[in-house]
Amino acid sequence: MSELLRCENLTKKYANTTALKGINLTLESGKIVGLLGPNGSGKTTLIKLINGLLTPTEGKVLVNGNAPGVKTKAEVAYLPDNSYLNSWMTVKQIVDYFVDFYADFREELAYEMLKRLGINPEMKLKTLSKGNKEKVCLILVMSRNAKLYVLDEPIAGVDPAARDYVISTIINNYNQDATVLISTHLISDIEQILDEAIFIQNGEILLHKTIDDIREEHNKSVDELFREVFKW
Amino acid sequence: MVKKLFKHEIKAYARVIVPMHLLLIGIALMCRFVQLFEAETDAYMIVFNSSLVALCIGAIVCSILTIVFGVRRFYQNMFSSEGYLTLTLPVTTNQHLFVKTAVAVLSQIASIVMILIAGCCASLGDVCIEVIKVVVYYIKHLFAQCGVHAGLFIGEFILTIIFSLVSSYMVFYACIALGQRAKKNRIGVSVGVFFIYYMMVQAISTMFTIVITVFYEQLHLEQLIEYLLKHQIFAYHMLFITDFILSAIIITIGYSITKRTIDRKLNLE
Repeated sequence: MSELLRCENLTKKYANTTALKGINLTLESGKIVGLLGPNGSGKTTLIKLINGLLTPTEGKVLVNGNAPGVKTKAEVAYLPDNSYLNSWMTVKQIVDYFVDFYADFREELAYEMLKRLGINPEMKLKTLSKGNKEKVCLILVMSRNAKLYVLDEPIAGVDPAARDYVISTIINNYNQDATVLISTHLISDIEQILDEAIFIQNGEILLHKTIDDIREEHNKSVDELFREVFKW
Repeated sequence: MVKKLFKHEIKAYARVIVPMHLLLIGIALMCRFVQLFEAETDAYMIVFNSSLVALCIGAIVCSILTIVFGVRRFYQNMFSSEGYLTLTLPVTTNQHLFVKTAVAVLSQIASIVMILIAGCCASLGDVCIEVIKVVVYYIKHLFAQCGVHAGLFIGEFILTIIFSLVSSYMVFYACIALGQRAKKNRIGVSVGVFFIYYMMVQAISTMFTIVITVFYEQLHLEQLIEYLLKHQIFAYHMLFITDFILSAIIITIGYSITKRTIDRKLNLE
């Protein structure tokens, strides 16, 4: 297994707040990693830095040895926590868009997943329900044969049945050599698929361990430990 | 990647611009259709004048909407939620800015051409022929007076229009980009930045006029004007070159601000 993501003394300051405080983090390839923390803990800031949507105030982030840029964007599949697709486009047009820009996009797989969901590719995105729109976004991201999948809150705001769909889509479609970084605070739903967990609070990493180590050392599930650590 | 960006950008523009252009041509043809029933009655004059007013309004709206759409498209595609996709494509900021500006300028040129075509459609027949005759006469006259320089003037004139359009879009983009650096009410800040820029341009022009008027003699401007009147061809070339230089300065500043904001100060909400 090789190192895929490295954050060195990664700091991000906004005007009055420090969102990330000198984070040091290394992720290896072939893992599913949970980025777990309460709201406002710095999860999204870290994800945006990995995707080059923010510039670090200090420190650096390297994806497969490169700073965020054209090369890393071709290797990272990113699912933001909000709807980011042009609503006037049809599903087919969005798929074509991904085909054009991402060399690793698996078009057949995308259409197969859409078919299984009963989504007509000729439908405009604005005519889809909120749940189906989110599923289309996930399908597009998971249809890539990326080295790093970064999923920001993929199961927040969806019903329990849809959560199962999201989780099975992630497990069944990610490139086995790749790493999946999933940010969420709904731990019990994804705990069974995680290899590692990162606890983040107030811009600092409190814990980064494998799930087995957490269970062994603390004699608790990740969800139970999370509730204990982040107790109000 | 640039080709692919062009393809998708043109598609996005076409879905708004093409129907608008077709509507304008439709109004122009309606205007021409009305003229087939030419009569000296009040009712006819009302209908005829109304169709002309509709064509003028259509042409103005077409021109303004093209600019508004270009600015809106840039903001939405780069800095709203769509930016999460646009800015995570394996494409450089330079490529994004180049394609966005080029397609915006091409759309504006397309709108200008469509307005001219609409004018021709509305005046099909004698009026149109007369207008074309006048234009041809002036071009011939220009060549007769200036020789090879006439071709250069036409080329410089077209380039001036393109440079002006590029610089206008760069100003809009830079204002939007500067607005993105604000923590709150980013659109309001963008509008504010544009207002300040506009006021500054007005203030500089006014000061320039005042300086020239007050120091007319001290600056020996009379001799300069005399010289330029004697060498009119040189004077016109200088006018175009000055315009290019001013536009190039605005483009460089606007481009640098926008690029720096996207590369270094980006903070999508």
